[in-house]
Amino acid sequence: MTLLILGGTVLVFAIVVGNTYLASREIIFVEAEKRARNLAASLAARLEQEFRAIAKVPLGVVAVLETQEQNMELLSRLLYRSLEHNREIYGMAVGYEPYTKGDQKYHCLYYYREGTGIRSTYLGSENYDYFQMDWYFLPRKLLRPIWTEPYFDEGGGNILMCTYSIPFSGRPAIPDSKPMSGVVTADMSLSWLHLIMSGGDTGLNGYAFLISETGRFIVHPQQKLVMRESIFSLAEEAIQPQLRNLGRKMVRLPGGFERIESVLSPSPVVVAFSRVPSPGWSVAVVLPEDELFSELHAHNQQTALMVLVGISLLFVVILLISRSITRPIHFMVQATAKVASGNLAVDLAPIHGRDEIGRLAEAFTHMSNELQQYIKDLTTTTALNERIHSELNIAAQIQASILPSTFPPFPEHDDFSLYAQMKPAREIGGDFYDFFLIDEERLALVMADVSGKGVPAALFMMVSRTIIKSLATQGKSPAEVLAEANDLLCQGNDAAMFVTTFLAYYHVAAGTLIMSNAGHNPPYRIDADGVVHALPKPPGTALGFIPGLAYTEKEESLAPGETLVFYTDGVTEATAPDGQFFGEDRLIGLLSQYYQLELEDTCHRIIEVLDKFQAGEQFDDITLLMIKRT
Amino acid sequence: MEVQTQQKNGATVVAVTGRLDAVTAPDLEKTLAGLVDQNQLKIILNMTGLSYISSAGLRCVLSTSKKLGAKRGKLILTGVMGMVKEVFQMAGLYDLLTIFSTDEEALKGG
Repeated sequence: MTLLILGGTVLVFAIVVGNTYLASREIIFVEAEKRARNLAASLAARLEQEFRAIAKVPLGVVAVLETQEQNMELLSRLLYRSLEHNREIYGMAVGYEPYTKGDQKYHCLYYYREGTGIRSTYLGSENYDYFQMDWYFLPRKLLRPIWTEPYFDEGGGNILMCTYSIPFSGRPAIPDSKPMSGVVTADMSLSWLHLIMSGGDTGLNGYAFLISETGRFIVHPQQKLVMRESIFSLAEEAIQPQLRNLGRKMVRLPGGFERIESVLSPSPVVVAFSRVPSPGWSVAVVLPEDELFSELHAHNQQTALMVLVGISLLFVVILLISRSITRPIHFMVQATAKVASGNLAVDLAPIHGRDEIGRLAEAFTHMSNELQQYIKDLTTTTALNERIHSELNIAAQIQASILPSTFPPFPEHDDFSLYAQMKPAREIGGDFYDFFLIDEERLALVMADVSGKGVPAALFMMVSRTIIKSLATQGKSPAEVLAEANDLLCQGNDAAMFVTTFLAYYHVAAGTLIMSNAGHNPPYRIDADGVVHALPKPPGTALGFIPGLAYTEKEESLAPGETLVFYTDGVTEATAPDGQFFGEDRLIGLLSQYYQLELEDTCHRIIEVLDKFQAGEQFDDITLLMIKRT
Repeated sequence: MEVQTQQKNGATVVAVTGRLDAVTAPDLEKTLAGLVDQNQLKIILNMTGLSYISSAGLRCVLSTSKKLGAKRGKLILTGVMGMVKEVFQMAGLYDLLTIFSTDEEALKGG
């Protein structure tokens, strides 16, 4: 992430800096061109000015020569004065056509500076045949004033110079006289040119140079090139077509601007040139590019440095920030992994701070603590549940062992068979049955259903059973037993529990029954042929509701082969998934179907069917007690 | 099971519909206990919509009846019919409780 941010920042910076740089470069180029051109033009203009100024002087002399009588003294004075008043002129000469002065071939008066004074001499000899020299030859040929190429005037001025030479024709004495009588010259020393040329501001490493009409270097910072090389020869030597092109342009065009690479100097330069019309020369101003841009480069370097520092700082800041984010997150990730593996004791204390990360850490710690607590509670609850469950299992065992469950219960009695079963809806139930001998002859049968199920019902069931058995074994009649039991059960019965009870005393030998009912379903009687009869229901309110109630008794008898079936409403009110009740009819049907089986088997069959009917869900305790007179 | 409570002529009519068994009885018990605590001493329990009542349901009814009795209040049952009536009769409770056919009669008579 850090790298991404950094990358983006660097990109932005790069674009901005790059753009600025390029824009600046552009501007500099434009300015440089302007500057160079201006400089070249101004130099050229100054040179031109000088040339023109110098040109005027011999022109004056020509005017005199062409209008006055030939007077050498006058001429001498003129030349002297001209030289005296024109510091720029090094020397002036008046050279005549051959044999103008009698039999003298050469006649050339020359005034020149030497030191601080002015001297004169006559030029012309075998060694100095001035007729062949450019300053005489060219104007004679062209019959117009010319500026010569620079030359070294050996035997004459003995310096490097160039000369302005004007042909004149003296006062025509004879009509068919020659077109030219001679020339008047004015010399300009090149060293003085140098002065002008070096006067321009070409910067630290820039320079100006001057080439002649033929491209020859007249002024150049590299002395060895002056007069010896031309721009073309230089181009030839260095095999630089660019330079040659420049030269061509310079000698032809009035002005221009070029960019030359690594020829005139190792690095690229810009060149502006401007023509000096009089001599047909060209001034060039050379500015090294890197100097132009030196300031820009320096500035750029500064900017780059600032950018670099800025980016480094930014980098550090970003790093710190992202670390302050990612470190805590990394920390929390680790903590989460720890929690996931079950170790909830995570410590996020190292993360502090008021920002979102801090809050996240807080929330995480909170969650972790909550989780710890929850797990603790859950563990406790589960342990508790397991304990309760195991206790319930024990309770179920206790309950099961309390209800008589040994069958056959009275093996010595072969005059009846008996079977009973209680299937609780939960681990322990509220239904109960009981049977016990009251005396040798009578068997008490109890079928009861406590309101509700589970532990509360079971507790009440235990109490009820005990009370009933204890009362019955005291010899009381069924009605008496129920009445007293009711009173006892109403006491301390804040939960308004009640128990429906059917109590019957069966005289074993006679097969007679005395029955009393407290709100319970009466039993069925299956006769020997399997026909099921419902016994009438003796009225009576369930035990435990209100005290002081009385109960009635009814008598019934069982013929041999007949079966009495006691049940609780858990059988008839068993509910199928679709809401249907099992009902009396189905029970009656089952009883008729299986009456011939052993009581135990009949019982089991019925329970099986009920199980299927309820599709495994049991809502209420199911109890069955069957007794058959054999 | 659904319980709807309504005030009528100074009595609270509680209409209960559906199954009243060990699962649903606690809800009714809570509602009725609440009314008793608020000293709503005349409560009419309308059982017209009841399809089934188990011993747990009976116990709830009996408990409420006893509580109201202790406060000199009265629980009146209405709309006791079908299977529900049989259960009450079987338990021998039908004659011991105050039962009317309709709410109107209960409001007038009780």
